Amino acid sequence: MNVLEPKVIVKDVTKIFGKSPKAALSLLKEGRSKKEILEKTGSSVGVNHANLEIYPGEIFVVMGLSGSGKSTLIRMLNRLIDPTSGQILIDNQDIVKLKSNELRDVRRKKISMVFQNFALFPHRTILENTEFGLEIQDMPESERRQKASDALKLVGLAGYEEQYPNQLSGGMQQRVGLARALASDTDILLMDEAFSALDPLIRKGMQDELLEIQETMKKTIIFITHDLDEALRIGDRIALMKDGTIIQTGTPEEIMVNPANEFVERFVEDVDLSKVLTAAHVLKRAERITPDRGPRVALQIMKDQGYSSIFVVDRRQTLLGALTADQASRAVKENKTIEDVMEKDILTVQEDTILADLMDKAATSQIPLAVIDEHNRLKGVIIRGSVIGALAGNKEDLNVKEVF
Amino acid sequence: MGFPKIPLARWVDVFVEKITDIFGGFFEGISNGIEFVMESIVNVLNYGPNWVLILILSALAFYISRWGLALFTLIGLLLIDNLGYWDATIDSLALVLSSVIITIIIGLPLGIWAARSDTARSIITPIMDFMQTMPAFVYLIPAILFFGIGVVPGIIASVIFAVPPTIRLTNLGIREVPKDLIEASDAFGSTPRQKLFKVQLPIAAPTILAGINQSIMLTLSMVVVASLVGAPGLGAEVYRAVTQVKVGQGFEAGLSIVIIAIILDRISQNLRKPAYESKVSKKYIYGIVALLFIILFIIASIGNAKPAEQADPGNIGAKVDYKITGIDPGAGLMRLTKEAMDEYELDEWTLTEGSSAAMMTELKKAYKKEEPIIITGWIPHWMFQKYDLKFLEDPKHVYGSGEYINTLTRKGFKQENPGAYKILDQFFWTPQDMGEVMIDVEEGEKPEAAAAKWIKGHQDKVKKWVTGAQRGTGQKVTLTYVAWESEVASNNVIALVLQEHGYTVDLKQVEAGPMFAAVADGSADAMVSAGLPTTHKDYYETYKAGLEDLGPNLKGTKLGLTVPKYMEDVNSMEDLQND
Repeated sequence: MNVLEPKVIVKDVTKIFGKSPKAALSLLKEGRSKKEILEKTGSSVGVNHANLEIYPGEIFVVMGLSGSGKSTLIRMLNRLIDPTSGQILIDNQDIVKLKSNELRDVRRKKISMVFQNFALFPHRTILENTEFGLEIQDMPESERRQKASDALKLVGLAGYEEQYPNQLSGGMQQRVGLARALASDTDILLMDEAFSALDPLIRKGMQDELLEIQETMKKTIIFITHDLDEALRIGDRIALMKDGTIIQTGTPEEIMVNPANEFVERFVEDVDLSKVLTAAHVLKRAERITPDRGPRVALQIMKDQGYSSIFVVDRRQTLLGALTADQASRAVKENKTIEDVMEKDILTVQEDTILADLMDKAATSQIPLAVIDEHNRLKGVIIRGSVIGALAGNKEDLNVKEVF
Repeated sequence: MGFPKIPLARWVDVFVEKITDIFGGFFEGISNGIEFVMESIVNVLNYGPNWVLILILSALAFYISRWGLALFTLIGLLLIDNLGYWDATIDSLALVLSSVIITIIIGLPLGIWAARSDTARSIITPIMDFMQTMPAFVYLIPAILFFGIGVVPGIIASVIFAVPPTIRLTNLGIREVPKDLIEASDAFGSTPRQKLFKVQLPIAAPTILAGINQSIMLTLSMVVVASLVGAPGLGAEVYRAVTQVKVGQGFEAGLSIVIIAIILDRISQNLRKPAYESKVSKKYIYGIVALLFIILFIIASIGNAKPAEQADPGNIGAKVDYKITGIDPGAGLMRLTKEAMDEYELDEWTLTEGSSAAMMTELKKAYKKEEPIIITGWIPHWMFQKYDLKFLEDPKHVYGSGEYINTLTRKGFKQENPGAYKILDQFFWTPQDMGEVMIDVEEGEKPEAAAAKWIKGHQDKVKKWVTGAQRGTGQKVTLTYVAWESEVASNNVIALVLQEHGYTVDLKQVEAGPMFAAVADGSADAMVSAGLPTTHKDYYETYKAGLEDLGPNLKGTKLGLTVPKYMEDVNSMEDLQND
């Protein structure tokens, strides 16, 4: 991903609300706190020297509690709020410097937005709402109707064109909001707490649908949320904000596993680790053997290492089965090959299976769970003890990649 | 008390005068425009037979608000027709519609402006507060100066009075559009204009319409006030009923206003969400109504286009637009003038109604530019001191030959208060005397001061009035009078004389009818303003049972059509006739 040019670069962006932004800005440079600045100048710091690079095609989640400045930050990306200082580059064009007509063009062609409370126009039908972005670009009616109905189809709302927003449920309304943003066919999609107003079940469905749409559309999505679970579910990368400052940026697992400070740690501590950590995090090296080595060798290895079973792979590391010590000694006695006696129908999990989903298998399986990749190659093994250790927050049980 | 009075009134006078001078042409243009709209609406509404309009309005009421209002509209309008107020109702409807159209044209943009700029709002809001709290009558004065007498100043005053709700609620409606909808509109790249027309106005529409509804109601409440400057319609009927103390007539006219008010209110309230919208789209219904209106508008304005200016440019009628400028509709002088117009066959002439103040303003304007004007004049009035005027000869003696101003008291006043009675009986002076007081008042002196000044200078006359009258011991004497300049003068003088003689005087300013009624029923003691035998003939006949006539206090009064002396070609009523 890093080889790509960033789509959006946020450079040292600060937003001060209030009457004396300059005074507040210089106090901010001195390192005064948000509270101090408010008391001294009456101005409040919305966003404090934020820096971000967002790459094409990724879902970038900005997460924080209310008042953390995340909504302000996302609104500066299309300048619904003007930054007090700093640069915002979209395709290497600094949008902070744009005149109002150039800015309108960026908003029409490059960035569209989905709002927390849907922000549908009550006096327009679903179709008219969807085509709004195109209508104000003076696109001919037949063309924009076509694009709008395509977008509605994409979000599963074909047939609702002539209804009004108040006739639809919350989830459906937000689909309209999404369709309206998609209809403009912009590269960048800003989603401001887009699913927060929906109830949990519908929210999850919408997250899945967004991921599905993203699969084909490959938009650059900047998604604001206060819900860590949501961030972890859909975010390719996450930036965590507190008091207007970006505390940490990274992939979900980086944030989970290597919290930058106590705040992040506290923030993530309530998260259900079993839904974040995957098989890859806890797998251990698996003892393996190719069938041609024979049952004697297999038995010897197991005795030496103190294992009761061993995985059987071919030369390409493709998993063939598992051999227990009992089976190995039977083969020696009856003079059979490993392939004759080994267990072929064994339970396996993929590397990216989350712990929550593999727990069941780990509990029922007689032999340790094998972890394989998409080509059925053995990657490692899940030991029950290390799963429990990882869920308990024991770092020694985690295979952590170095962060950058 | 050393600080002199700030001459605020004088400054306002000068300011208004300057504006009249500078923007005269501009105001005339506006005036013509408004008059054209008003006349066109009257023509359109009057185009077919009455029952057609009644049916159309009832049908519209049915579509918008179901059968209840439809039935009310049908019965209400038929009742108005039956009572004989149809034409007045059409005039009032046209007045209201014209005012509302102008209100929207002015109010909507101002409301939008106020919504978009806090500075604009902070400028507009106090002005609107001022406009709404200033008594509506006050607008009539500059409105006459700028726009002349007739329906136009009435409309202007109505608009000033009625426009604030439209502005306020437009502003409010737009400001109340949810913030996220504004953000959505911005985020997709709307221009400010697109945002306004595609988002803000449609969403604010219910609030804006509520404002327009209020404006309609306020306009309707102004029809009576507008009639003071000559706007025709139900308001003039009410005004006439008040000045003539005709309870029944007042009720009929008032009821008609109420009926119209209810219909307009209910229709305008539900305009946006008609009851049968689901059956027939409102676009079609309103489209048909608008189309019908426009077609009739065109037909009516073609049919009504005035024939080219009469061949003879010297024709006096054409010069003054066949208009005689009159005073309050209930005045005897107006009745006489109508009689005179019949007598001299002045069929193509119209007599505009209003008030004496409005007429004087018209005269002042015309006199300044030496334009021709014909008014209803009378002596005593300061206009004859201030301007060079002449009465038109009246060879048929319609206006009577000798006219007096009499003193009347209630029955029994003589026995109860012989001293005051004697002074009132002996009160007698000349038009010249009265003129001296009047001109002082006209030039800015307070009436009391002008009266005191006159008394000081004419002790001999005053002595004669009080000879033989016993001094009072604080007894109260209540006098009624109308606010004509002549009567202000006489009443202040006689009041002061009575006071100097030990009486407490209560002066009550009323309209002509109540002036007689109050003395006749004993709620007032006397009046020195009865124009007899002609001017107040009707009132005198009605109330004479309760009155005692003490004879004239002033002789040599005169009534008649009056023109400035510079109109050399016009000397007689007969000169007004077309050959």
